[in-house]
Amino acid sequence: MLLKTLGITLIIAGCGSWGLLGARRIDKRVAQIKDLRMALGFLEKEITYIHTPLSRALERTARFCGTPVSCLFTESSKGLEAREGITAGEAWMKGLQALKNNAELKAADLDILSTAALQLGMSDVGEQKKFFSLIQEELQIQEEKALQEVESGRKLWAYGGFIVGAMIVLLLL
Amino acid sequence: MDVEIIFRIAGIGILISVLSIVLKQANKEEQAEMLTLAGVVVVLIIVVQLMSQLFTVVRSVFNL
Amino acid sequence: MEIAQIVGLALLTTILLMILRQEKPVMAVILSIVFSITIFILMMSKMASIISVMQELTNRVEINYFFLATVLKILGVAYLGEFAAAICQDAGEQAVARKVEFASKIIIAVMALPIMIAILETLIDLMPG
Repeated sequence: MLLKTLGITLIIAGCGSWGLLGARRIDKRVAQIKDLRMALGFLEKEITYIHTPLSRALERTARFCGTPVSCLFTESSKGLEAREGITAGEAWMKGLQALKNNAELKAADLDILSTAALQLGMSDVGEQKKFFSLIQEELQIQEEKALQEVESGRKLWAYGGFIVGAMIVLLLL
Repeated sequence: MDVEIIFRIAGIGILISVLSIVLKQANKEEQAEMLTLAGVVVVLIIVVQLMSQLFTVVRSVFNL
Repeated sequence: MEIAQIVGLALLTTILLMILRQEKPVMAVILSIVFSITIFILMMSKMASIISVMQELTNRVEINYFFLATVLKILGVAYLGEFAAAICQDAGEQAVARKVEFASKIIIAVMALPIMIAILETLIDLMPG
């Protein structure tokens, strides 16, 4: 009897926390996109106004923003400073890989960022500025979409987890 | 006692309706409908077993 | 007191059915089926003892056992038919319920035919000429 109650509590708690974790993920994504935008704004100012060289700019941006968004910039700046002959684009992609492993961003967000690989450090300041504005706008759209998802998905994940747990319990009892 | 099965089915029914409400709120109406159907199928399997039990009992008592 | 348990269970089931019918009428129908079957099975044991008493009586009075058997079968058909018809009616399917009742009536009539024939023969025997 006691074992049964313990088992039931475990299953419901387990499924419930899985659901709550899912809800937390959706929340985190919104915050991370916002952080990303701020960091990119900082990077843009470094490049276009202060004309800092790319690896320095990336390093300073990494120090400016918090984890996990900083992964992108730390990895890219490390890639460039290693001076192994890789281009800025490749270093950026490496940074993106690190970001993918550490953040809750979706493939769509990462795609927007990967288009930057071709442009970084390749063209003149005016072009780079235009490019950054484009990325900012696209990320803004993603942020709004993510916000919408939070409103509709949060409750789903939070309640859904517990409900699924209770159903498993009822079916197996 | 067979009484436990009533509460089990009632519980499953209530949980499925709550889950379907939550899914509808998250704009996933098709999934809500699919879930309902899946739940009905599962419960029907239980009920069919119960019905065969009933018919066996009736047949034995009334010598049909 | 078994009746108290059954009454309590019935009231609880009614409340649950009301909740379910609003959201998911399907589950409500299934729940009412399950409840009916459970009560049936619970009562069947008592029914069995009643029937065995009746069988003993007919044995003592030496009526042909065939009549009691037919009556019992008719009773069984009536119970099953009523069980299904009530559930269909609750689910809003009046047509299905009526057809079930109709079918059970026909089956009962067919079962009762031999008895009617026997009664007619007896009457004919009794009548003079």
